[in-house]
This record gives sequence, C-alpha cells and structure tokens, in this order.
Amino acid sequence: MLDFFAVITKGGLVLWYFQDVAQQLKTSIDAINALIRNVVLQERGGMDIYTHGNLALKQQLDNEFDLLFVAVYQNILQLSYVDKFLSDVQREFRERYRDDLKEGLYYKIIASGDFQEHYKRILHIAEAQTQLVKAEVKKPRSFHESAKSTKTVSSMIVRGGDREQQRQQQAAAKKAAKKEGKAKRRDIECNNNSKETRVEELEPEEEEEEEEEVAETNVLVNGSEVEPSSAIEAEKKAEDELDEETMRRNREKLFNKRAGPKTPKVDKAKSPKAKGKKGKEATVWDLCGQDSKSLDYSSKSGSGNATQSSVRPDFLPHQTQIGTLSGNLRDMDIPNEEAQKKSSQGGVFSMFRGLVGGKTLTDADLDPVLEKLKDHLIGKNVAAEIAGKLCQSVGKKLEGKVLGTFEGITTTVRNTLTESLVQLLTPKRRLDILRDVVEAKKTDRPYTMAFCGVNGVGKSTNLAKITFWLVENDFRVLIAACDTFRAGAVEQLRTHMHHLNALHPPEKHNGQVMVQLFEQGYGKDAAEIARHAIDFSRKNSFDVVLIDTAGRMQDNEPLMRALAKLILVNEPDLTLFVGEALVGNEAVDQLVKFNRALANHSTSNNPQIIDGILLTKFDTIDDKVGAAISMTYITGQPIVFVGTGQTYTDLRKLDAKAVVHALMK
Amino acid sequence: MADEVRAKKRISLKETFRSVVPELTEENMLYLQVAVAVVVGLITLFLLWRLLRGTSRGRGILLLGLCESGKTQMFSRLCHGVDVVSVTSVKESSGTYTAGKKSLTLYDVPGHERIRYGALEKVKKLARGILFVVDSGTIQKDVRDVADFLYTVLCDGVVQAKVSRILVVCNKQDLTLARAAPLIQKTLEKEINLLRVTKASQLQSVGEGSNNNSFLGKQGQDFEFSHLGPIKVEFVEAVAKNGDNLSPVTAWLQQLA
Repeated sequence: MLDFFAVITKGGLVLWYFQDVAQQLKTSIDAINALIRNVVLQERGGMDIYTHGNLALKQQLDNEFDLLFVAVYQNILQLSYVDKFLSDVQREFRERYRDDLKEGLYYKIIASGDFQEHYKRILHIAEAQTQLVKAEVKKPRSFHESAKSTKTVSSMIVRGGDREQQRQQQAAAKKAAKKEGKAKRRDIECNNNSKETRVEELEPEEEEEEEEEVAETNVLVNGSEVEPSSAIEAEKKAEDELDEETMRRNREKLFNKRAGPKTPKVDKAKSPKAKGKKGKEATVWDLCGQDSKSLDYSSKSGSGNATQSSVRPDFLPHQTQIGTLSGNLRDMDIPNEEAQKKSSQGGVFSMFRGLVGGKTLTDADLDPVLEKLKDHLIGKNVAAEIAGKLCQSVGKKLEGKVLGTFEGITTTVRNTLTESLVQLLTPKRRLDILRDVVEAKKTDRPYTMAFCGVNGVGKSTNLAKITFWLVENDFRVLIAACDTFRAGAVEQLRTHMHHLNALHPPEKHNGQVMVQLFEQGYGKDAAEIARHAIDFSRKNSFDVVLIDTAGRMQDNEPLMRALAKLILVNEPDLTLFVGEALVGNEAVDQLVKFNRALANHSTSNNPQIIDGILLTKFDTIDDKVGAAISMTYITGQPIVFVGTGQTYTDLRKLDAKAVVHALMK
Repeated sequence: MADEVRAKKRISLKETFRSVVPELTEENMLYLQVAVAVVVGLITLFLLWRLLRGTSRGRGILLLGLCESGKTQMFSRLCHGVDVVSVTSVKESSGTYTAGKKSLTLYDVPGHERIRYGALEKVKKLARGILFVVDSGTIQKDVRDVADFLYTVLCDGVVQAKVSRILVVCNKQDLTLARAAPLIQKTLEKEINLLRVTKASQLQSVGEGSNNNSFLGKQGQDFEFSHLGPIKVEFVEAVAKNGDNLSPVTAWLQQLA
C-alpha cells in the first residue's frame, strides 16, 4: 500500500527506489522535493508526517551515513506500520551496503540495485503483522465467551427478596466477568462489551421492575468489576464472597445511578409553576425557630445535650503516629545528592574515550546537552515551544552520528544548532525590493507594500523610514493612510510627509514631489481607501504605495476579518508583518493567528499570507535576539527589514551570522 | 670507549672544516655554527608557512546554480558517466573528473537559497573554476534569481582571487522552450546592469558586516561580461542527460586541468 519508497543521500542522489505501478515517478519526486524543502531545510524534523496534496510522507534520517529514507503513501490510508517499517528497512539497507556506504561509493550502490527482494520481504512481514493486530482488536466477543452464556434463564429471574440466590448469581457473574477480563484486558473492549451485554440483557426483558433492577445489578456487577478490570489488582481482591459492605455499596451506586439519569429529566421538566401548584407554604429557614440554647455548641460538662465526638466508622486514626511529635520539631530532610549521581564505570578513562572519537551519539548523550541549549535559547528570548522544536530537530539530525577525533558532544551539538539557526535565518527567496520596484515600474503599475501588526509595534515609524530609503533611491512614494481608527494616525503620517519632502525637495528631483499622503479622514473602510490610493498612484505615476493599517490584536475577529479583506481586495506585492523584537512567546501566537485569518478569509486556492517580517525596536534588546528566530520559524518567511531606532536612518537588513553569533554567545 | 669515539668524531668534523677553510678560527667557527642554525630554522619556517598556507591554486571546480537546474545530473555524468534520479541536494558532494592524465575535483554545491551560501563558504577556497548551470527553459522567468546568484558569486572576494574562469552552462537544451546561449548572455548582462545599481543601494546590515557588493564592470557603460578583467566568462549550451552534448563542457575542463 506504499506508493513509493526511496533511499536518498544528502547530496541528492536516489540510491534506490521502489515505485508502485499506479504512481508516476515525477509526482513522487516532486513530493520528496517538497518534503526536503519544507521539513529538512526548515528544521521541522521533529514532526511526524508531512502531507503534500493527497500524499503523506514519512521520513527517517540516518546520520551515520548521511542518508534519508522516505516512504510515500496516500494520506487517507493512515498506515500504522510505517515507522517500524522505516527502521527495519534502514537496518537492512545498512547491513547490506555497509562497506560501500562507508567509502561513499554511491554509484556502485546505484548500479547494483538489487534491494528489491529484501524490501518486499520486509514489507510483507510488516503488513502481515498489522493484519494480525487489526484482527485482534476488532473482533467482538462471541456469545459463548460472554457472561450471559454461563447463566441459565431461570437464574436470571428473581423472586423478590431471595437474597441467597442473588448472592449466588452475583458471585457467578463476578467469576465469569473475571474470566473475560483476564482474557482481554483492554478498556475500550470492556466498555464496548459491557455496553453490548447491557443492551442484550435489557432488550428481551419484561416490564417487571424487579427484573430490571436485577439486570442492572448484574450489569452493575459486571460494570463495577469490568471498570477496574484494567487495573488487574482490583480484580485480584481474591475475595470470592461478596461481603455485606460491597453489597451495600453496590446498592448505593445503583440507586444513585437510577436517580442520576432521572434527575436531569426532572430538572428540565420542572417549571416554576409546578412548584406553585402545591400551594403557598411558609418558607422554613435553616436556623429559624431555634432559640439560642440549641445554637450553643460549646461543650458543657454534664449537659445532657452535649454533642459527643462520635467516632465515625470510616475514620480510623493511625495509632502509630501518637507520641512521635513530642518535643521540638525536627529539621528538614534534604535529599542526598550522591544517590542521584550515576555511577560511571571506568570513570577516568571515559574522558579520554571522548577524545579519541568513533563514538556513536545516542539519545541519552544528546538529551542533557540539548536541554541546556534549549534553556539557553529560552533565556535569549526564543519562544519556548520553538526552542523545544528546534532542539528536537537537531537531536534527530545528530542521532546515530559517529563523532570524529577530538570532537566533543557539546561542541558538535552547538555547531549543528548554529548551522541550523543560520540556515533558518537565511531567506529562502531573493530579497531585493529595489529591483522588484523597477520591475513593477516596467509593467506600469505601482509596487504596493502593506504593513500589519498588533498595536504599538512601530508600523507608522518604520513606514516613514522605508519611505526615506526609497526616496533616497529616487522612487516616488504614496503613503495610504488606512489607519482610520487611531486618533492622530493621519496627522502623524502627514508630519512625516512634510519632513521627508523637506529633506528631498522637488528641486532635487526634477520638480516632482517625492512623497505624498493619500487620506480620507477617519472612520471609513480601510480596504476602500487602499483601493482608491492604488488607483490614484497609477494615474499620477507613483512608483511605490505604502499602506499603513491600524494595529489590531490577533484575537479580535472582526478586525482580523477587515484586514483580510484589505489584503484580498488590494493584493499587495509585499505583506509585511511588523513585530517588535521585545516580544517573547506572544510572537508565535500573533503570527499564527494573523496567518490563519488571512488564509481563512481568502477566496482563492493560494491565499496571500504574510510575505515578510519587519523586526522593530532591535536597539532595545542587547543580545536577546530570539524573537527573530521565533518569527522566521513560524512563518518560514524572511526578515526583510530591521528597525534599530526612531530616526529615518535607523533601518537595516538582517545579517544571519551576526544574529546567530549573538544568540549563541 | 664510546666517549672517545664521540670525541673523535667531533674533532674530526672541526678538522674537516678547518681543512676546507683554513682561515676559520675558533670565533668564526662559533659564528658559522650560529649561522647554520639560523639558516636551518628559516628553511623550516619557510616550509611550514608554505605547507600551512596550502596550495595557492586549488584543483577544484564548483558546480553552482539555482535549484532544479541540473547540477547533480551533470555532476554524475561528468564524474561517473551515469544518469541518476535526483532530488534536491542538502549537502555538497565531491567527485573526481579525469581528463587524460590530469584530474580535477568537482564539487556539487546545493542550489537551495538557504544553504547555498553556507556550502559555498566551505568550498570556495579550493576553487579554480566555476561551472554555473542555468536552466534554459525557465530562464525568462527566473532571470532575476539567476542574475542575483551570479552577481553575488562574481562579487565574492575569494572567488575574485582564486577563480580564473567561469563557464555558464545553458542546460536542458533538449526542452522545446530552451533559449540559446547568446540570448541568455544578453539577458543576464541587462539584468546585472540593473542589479549593480540596486545592490549598491542596499541597506547596511545589522551587526558589523559591511555592504560587500562592489561595482562590477565599467562605470558609465552598460555591463558586459567581457568587462570583468581577470575572470573569463564563457557561455555554452549543453544537455546533461544522456551525455551526448557535454562536449563543450568537457573541452573547457580539459583546458582548465
């Protein structure tokens, strides 16, 4: 049922593949390419299944020989054996080609290509095992295995008050239940069965209340035995006789059960009028009518009514405690630290072992190092779950790797993590805004950029900075004031416009006004203003349109809808999410919800979501630069600009290596 | 007994010197010993320096290009003579190309944007020449990305120092929409003409990194590949699959080896 299986080197060669006849090679290769680009290169290796269209892909890394094992199957099938199957095939492949892999003779392996029989054998075994497991799970109990078959019909009829008979019945039922429980010990099973038996037993029942009662008691006995039957200890109480205590408790449960389902019905049926039908009664308060004497609870010696402290039958004090706390209180017991130390055998020489090399990394080795690195990252303001996922992905990359000489575990893990972080921060597409503006100019339309984000992150300030940069490069900019909510938003942008025009007067640029503001006051629809602004810019040959939107919280549904409408209607070339570098775990929530809102409210198959990130207030954090990592990890989009202050020149682009260096210091 | 032998030997060496150069007195002998020691020391240091610096001329050829341009396919063809099914490379791989008696090391550098520069850092100091692979079918759509990568490679300091020749291979000529090499050359020249202006106006980066985009070509004139003085850039057409049409590439490699 697997459509495609491939063994791939990290260099891109497919060493061996198996293709099911129905599938085309090209589609499988495309799916694998998508897997590599989205999972391996975006450090999401910790996740289980990757879906591409209607195909599901599962992968396994072999870090000793730098191989990738990929299984591709239809998403709707939900095969359960794929994980174990991947490991089995991996083991088999390594065994057969160990020497060639060590030397790196990939082409020899490609040429030989006789792995198919082994693959088919392992697949057959795996599929057969799942069939067995499935058969075990689904089959219901046959009639002969059920408790009912052990009872005779006459035994099920109760002639009121015959307790001896009842006890015998219950004992027999309990024995039968124990037998079943021992045979199959699964919760779902037992619940299903108890439900089945209940239904079976209730149906042919006559309308006699006693019979129902007995049936329910039987079922209850079944139920009360079957429910804790998954805990085997409860079964093995080893008392075959039901004593008075259990019987009493069962009766209580039964009455509660009978009362239980009925009370909601009664509640629903109750109406205030029903109460009134009884006639008006005098309300009786709790303490009314009692004089102060009866309210006096102080114990008086010799008083006949003094309440004796009655020993409740189920409160049994531990007699052994008496006398232990006489005198001063003792000090606290601090747990002994030595007990926690793992005894390392050959302690002295294990240090040298690490130096020599040839050591294979295992989970146990990697976990403490990864924990420390995760805490370090969280300390540098990376969101907690992102740090966890990153460390998990690095762990998957390093598991099974063989260390070289003089390579310590910590150094290797650090280097891999640094490499992964640099890779994460490197943009996955070309970032050249100026070139794209020229391109848009050629096709006679303006290049539009929309700024969105939560309140107070610096959208308007950074918009002004970007305008300055564009004007410096001789582009005419139109600012669309689509923040129609916040008081003073339009005035703020107007002030920026005046400043910028003063810095770059028309005389310097062939008499053209470089910056202009398009606004329609407050309270109007932002999407409409943006549309009018773009039309205006086309008519008056502006090169760039920058759309400033109002800040909004990610949970605010109507505002998110409005933003999605703006993006949908105007289709900006670049949708920038403005986020401040001070944000911590919130970054994850903000970005996820913004992206989701934009995707949900869009009508097309390829919704326009956030294309880039503008990281602001970068000068306020010293080296706690983790927000950059969180944001790029969540969206996969690059950080286009970095804002480092409040003047016009405080705009930078991201340098991945410098940021990661500051992060790992 | 051994001491006497040793003493004899020492004396005999001195006597030899004296016989050769009778003017040598005791003092001069001392100076001579010191001079010999210094010369030996200098020779050792020199050799060490040469060794550590490594060979100034690497024997490596880098295979660069965008994703899906056919680098891994070409690499397999050149080094091993077979066609392979390939997926996106994640790591660089190396192989040997034998041209008669001489051999070159080919490095297949992954083209994906996130890893290409990291992988390039590792291998660029070993480079003598670059094979820049371009997908001729999609060049019109991808011209900006191709030009961006090519421009970054040309501006790189290490590349300018070590690499003498670059061959731009217009791959996938068997596709119906494939463009010819001269056309691709003109398109790239126009694009780089524009790029050198926009790249120079890029923002400074956060941290200490400086804006490393130098202005290529001649000021005031449109950019042409012939303006790049020390580096020689040529354009050829090829088909990596089936290996029939790789002769321009192999010829170039022969010249470089």
